[in-house]
Amino acid sequence: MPAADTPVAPRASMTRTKSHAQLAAYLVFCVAILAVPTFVDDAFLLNKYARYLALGLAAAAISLSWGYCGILNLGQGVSFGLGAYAIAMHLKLETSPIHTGSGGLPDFMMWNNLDSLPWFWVPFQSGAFALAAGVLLPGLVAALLGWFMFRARITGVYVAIITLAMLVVVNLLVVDRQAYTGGFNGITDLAWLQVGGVEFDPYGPAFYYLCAGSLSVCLLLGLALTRSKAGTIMQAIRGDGERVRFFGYDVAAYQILAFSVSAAMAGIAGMLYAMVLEFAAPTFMGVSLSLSMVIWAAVGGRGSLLGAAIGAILVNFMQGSLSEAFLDTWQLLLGAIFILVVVFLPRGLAGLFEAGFERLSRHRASSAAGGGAAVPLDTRKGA
Amino acid sequence: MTYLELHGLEVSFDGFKAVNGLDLSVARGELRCLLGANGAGKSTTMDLICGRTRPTGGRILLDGRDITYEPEYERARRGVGRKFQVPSVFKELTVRENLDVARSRHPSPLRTLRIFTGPALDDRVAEVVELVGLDDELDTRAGYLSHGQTQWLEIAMLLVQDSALILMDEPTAGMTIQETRKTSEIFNRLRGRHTLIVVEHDMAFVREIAQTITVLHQGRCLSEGTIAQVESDPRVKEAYLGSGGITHA
Repeated sequence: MPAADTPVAPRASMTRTKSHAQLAAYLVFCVAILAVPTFVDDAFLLNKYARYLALGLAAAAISLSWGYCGILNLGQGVSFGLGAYAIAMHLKLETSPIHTGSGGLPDFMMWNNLDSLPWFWVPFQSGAFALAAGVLLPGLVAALLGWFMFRARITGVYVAIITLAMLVVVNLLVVDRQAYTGGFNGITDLAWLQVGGVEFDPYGPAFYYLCAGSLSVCLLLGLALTRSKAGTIMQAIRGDGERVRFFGYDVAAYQILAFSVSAAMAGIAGMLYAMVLEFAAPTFMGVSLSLSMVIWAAVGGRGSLLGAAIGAILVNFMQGSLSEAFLDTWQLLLGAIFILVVVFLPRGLAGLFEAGFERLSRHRASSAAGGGAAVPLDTRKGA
Repeated sequence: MTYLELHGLEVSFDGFKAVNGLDLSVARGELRCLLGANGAGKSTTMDLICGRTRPTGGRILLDGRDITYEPEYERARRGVGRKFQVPSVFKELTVRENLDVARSRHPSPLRTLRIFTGPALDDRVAEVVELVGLDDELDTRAGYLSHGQTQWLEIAMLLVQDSALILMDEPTAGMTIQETRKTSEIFNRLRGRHTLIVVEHDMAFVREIAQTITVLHQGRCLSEGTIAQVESDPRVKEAYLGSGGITHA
C-alpha cells in the first residue's frame, strides 16, 4: 500500500469508510459460517449446510467473472465437474479393495471389462495430486478456452453460447466414456478424504470447517483481487473493453485471468460438492445446475462475491425447505424468483444492501457536517 | 524532428477508400489540426493511427518505428493516446477509479494484481484533477457527471495517461464557450510537452490553438500550412466551392 498519510483528496474518507464496511461484511460472514458448528450438533444439518457453502463458492466464482469482468459463463459446470471428478477419482481409488476389484480397479471399470487402470487415473492415487488437479485443471482448461475466445475478441452473448456449448460437449463426453468415467451413474461409493491424519467425514464438523474455511479463504482472496488495480481494470473492461485497450492494457489477458481464477474457484466448489454428496455424476456438469448457479449469483448480486455466495445459500435453503411442498414446481418457482430479481433488484440483494449503506453514510455525513462542507478530515474518519 | 509519419496510408471499406494514399508528418511537440468536410477521412485517420482500424496499405511510423500492424494496446504503451468523439468514460466506476485505470504505467496483470491504490492520489493525478476542476467529484460515479464534467474527466484521463502523442476527436463538442476557452488554455499548455493531433469543427477554437493545419479531402491531404495559407489556397477554395470557403464549413 502506498503511504496514505497525506490525503490529497478531500473526500478520501468516504471511500475509506465504504471499503472498511465492505471488508467488515466479509469478515462477519466468515466468522458467522465458521461459528455454525458451535451451535449445531445435528450431523444431518451440518452436512446440508456444508453443501450450501460449496454451492455458495460456485456462485461467488460466477460473480468474479460475470459481475466483475462481464464474462457470462453458462458453462461453469465444466469447472465444477472437473473439480468434482478429480477428487472423486482419488476417493474411489482410496476405497480399495471394498468398492474396487482385485488390483484396485474401480467397480464400474470391471463391469466395463477394463483389466488395468487407465493411465490418467494412475496419478489420482495421490491425494495431493487430486487436490491440485481439482483446482489447476479447471483453471487451465478455462485459460485455454479463454485464450481462443478473448484473443479473437469474442464478447457478450457469444461467450455465453460458447461456454454453454462447451458444457454440453463435456457432459456428453463424460456420459459416453463409461469405462473411464462411470458414465451416467458417475463415480459412486467414495471414501472420505484424509489429509494429515484428519478424516473428513461429510457429516462431521471437520468437513464442515473444510467447506467454511475454503469459502472464507476464496472470498477474502477474491476480495483482494477485486480491490487491486487489476480488479478495477476488470470492471472497466465490463463497462467498455474497447476503451480499456487504448490505455495500453491487454484486455484479453485480464479476461483470461478473471475467467480462469473463477474456474479454479468453481473447481474447489466441485471438489467439496462431490465430497459432501459422496459421489460425482454428470448432473454436476448439467445445463440445469450451471444455469441455477447464474441465477443464485443474480439473486445475491453478481457485483459482489459475498452477495453471490449468500444468494446461493439463501436460494438453496429455500429450496431445501420448500421443494418438498413444491416438488414438481420448484424450477418454475426459481424462474419466477429470477425474473422478479432481474426486474426489481438488478443488482441483487447486495445492491439493496449497498444502497441502504450509501443512504445511511450520506445521512450521517450531512448531519455531521451540519450541512456545510468545511469539515476537518479527522472528524470525518469515524463517520 | 518528425515524430509521427504516415506514408501512403490507405484503407478501404468494401471498396470505398476512406483514406486514400495519405502522407502526413508531424513533428515532436507539434499541435496539428485536421480539417475537412464530413467523410474527408479525419476520424478514420485517427482510427488508423491508434490501431482501431487496420490499414489496407501504407505505413505508420512512430518515432521512426513501424507500428502499422501492432495491436492498439501496444501502441498505447508506446505513447499513443486517443480521445473519442463520443465521450467514453467508465460510467460504473468512480472518477477516482477512472483516473486509476487511465494511469497505466504498468499495464501487465502481474503488476496490477499487486497494486492497491489507497485514498491518496499521486502527484500527477492530483495536479490534473485540480486543473480540470474535478477535485470534489472523486468518489462520484462517472455516470452521474454532467456532460461537461464527463468531457473534463475524459481529458483528465488522457492527461494522466501522459501519452506522448494525443489524438483528439472534437474535444470541444458540446462544451460551453467558457469550457472551450479553458480547453484551449490546456491545449496551449500541452504543446511542446506532447504531440497533439486535433480534429475540430469549431474554427474559433482552431484559430486559438493551431499552428499548422492539414486539410483532408476525399482521404487525401489537400493542403497544409498556417490558417492564412490554407484559407488562401486555391485548391481548398475549389473543394469548398459553394459552401463559402473552409471557415464557413
